[in-house]
Amino acid sequence: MSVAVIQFPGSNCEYETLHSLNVVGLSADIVPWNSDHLDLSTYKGFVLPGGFSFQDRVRAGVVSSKLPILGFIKERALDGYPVLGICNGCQILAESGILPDYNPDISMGMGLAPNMNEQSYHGFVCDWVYVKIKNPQGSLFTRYFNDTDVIPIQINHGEGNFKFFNKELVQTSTSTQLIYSDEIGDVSFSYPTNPNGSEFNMAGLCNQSGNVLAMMPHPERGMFWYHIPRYLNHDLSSQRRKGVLTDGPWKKMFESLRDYIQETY
Amino acid sequence: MECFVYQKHIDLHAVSALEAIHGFMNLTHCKRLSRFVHWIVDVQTECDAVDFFSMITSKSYYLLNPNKEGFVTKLLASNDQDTHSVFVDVFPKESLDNSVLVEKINQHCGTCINHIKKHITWQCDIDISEQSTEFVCSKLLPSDLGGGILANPVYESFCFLNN
Repeated sequence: MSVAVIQFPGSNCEYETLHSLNVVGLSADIVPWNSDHLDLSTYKGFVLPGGFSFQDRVRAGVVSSKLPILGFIKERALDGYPVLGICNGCQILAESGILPDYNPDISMGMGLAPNMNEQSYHGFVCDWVYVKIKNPQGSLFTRYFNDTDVIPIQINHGEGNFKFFNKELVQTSTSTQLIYSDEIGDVSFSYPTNPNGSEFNMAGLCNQSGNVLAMMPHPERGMFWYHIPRYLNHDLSSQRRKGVLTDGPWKKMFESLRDYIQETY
Repeated sequence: MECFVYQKHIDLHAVSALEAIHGFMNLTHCKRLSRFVHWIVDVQTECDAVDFFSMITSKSYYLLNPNKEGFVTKLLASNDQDTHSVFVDVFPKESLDNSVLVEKINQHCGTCINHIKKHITWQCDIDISEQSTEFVCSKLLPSDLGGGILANPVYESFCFLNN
């Protein structure tokens, strides 16, 4: 029961992602972007890790989105296999049109524009933020969370500003969405709650079947207790300061993936 | 007034885009690809564009770094008789506030710029056996069939420029 972590030229989070998968008991391999499709056929899940594939040339994720391997991953996604895109992986999934899947007639329904603050480019952001999960039960990755959870997570990107082709479809969708909030769960559009100007404060979203999740924040950086900084105004930081924190909040995402793969394959 | 900034040596964005077009999208009719940063400047006073941008370049690096970049004020089509040049201008759908940049240039260079816009211009040299504009439109730019590569259909717009 193996998961493939796809290594693109310029990926830089593949080893942390692999470690996160291994720690919850999933076997996983780092698989190069130019691997033969036959080499990939035995894997039960796919993770597109963070980084700067092809140095973010032209636009973040666009060159990788044209690779043959994305055609294979798209087929696997349609077949129901779990696919997780983190940060640059999220940008690649967006540019390849795999997400969102609200309207099959639209070839590309969302884009990750440069970070904005008001009407100006905001530049690269590396910080801890908070997210809430709308309909966590709708995704195999988030089903162990609750919709009342306010979860700290790290972001690290210059182009993470979700823009949607059809805003109404996003608004009315019941598929799982990760939403930027403040530390008490209030959702406001202003910086720093929304760190990049994303429409609907979107931090990530899942397809309607629940097996493909694209998210800009890094769950593999909130996996262990020592990932959580002491200085956040959040219960987890308080636990960390007291020395009683045992796990990072995002370990549940990888455990959920593990359980899904064990239940299904 | 406008200028087109190019890399003097090699533009890695253009190299990777062409690699993707040839190697991953299998579109060999696009023979060459060049990329320019297209500055569109609204100035209060009339003056020659070359003189104006040369003056800004000599006093600041806000529009380009002359150690590695140069500029032209008019686009030139390829001399190659086997290709036809198509110029595509890509720009954000949202209007951006560049007032901070305008203020900095005006302060440093003594100019009277009202507004400034930054676009990206792609020069696509297409094999003459193809209908060049149609080729760029259907294969390299967003269409109903796919996302293209030179512009993102969700947050960017584009138009064709004449050389």
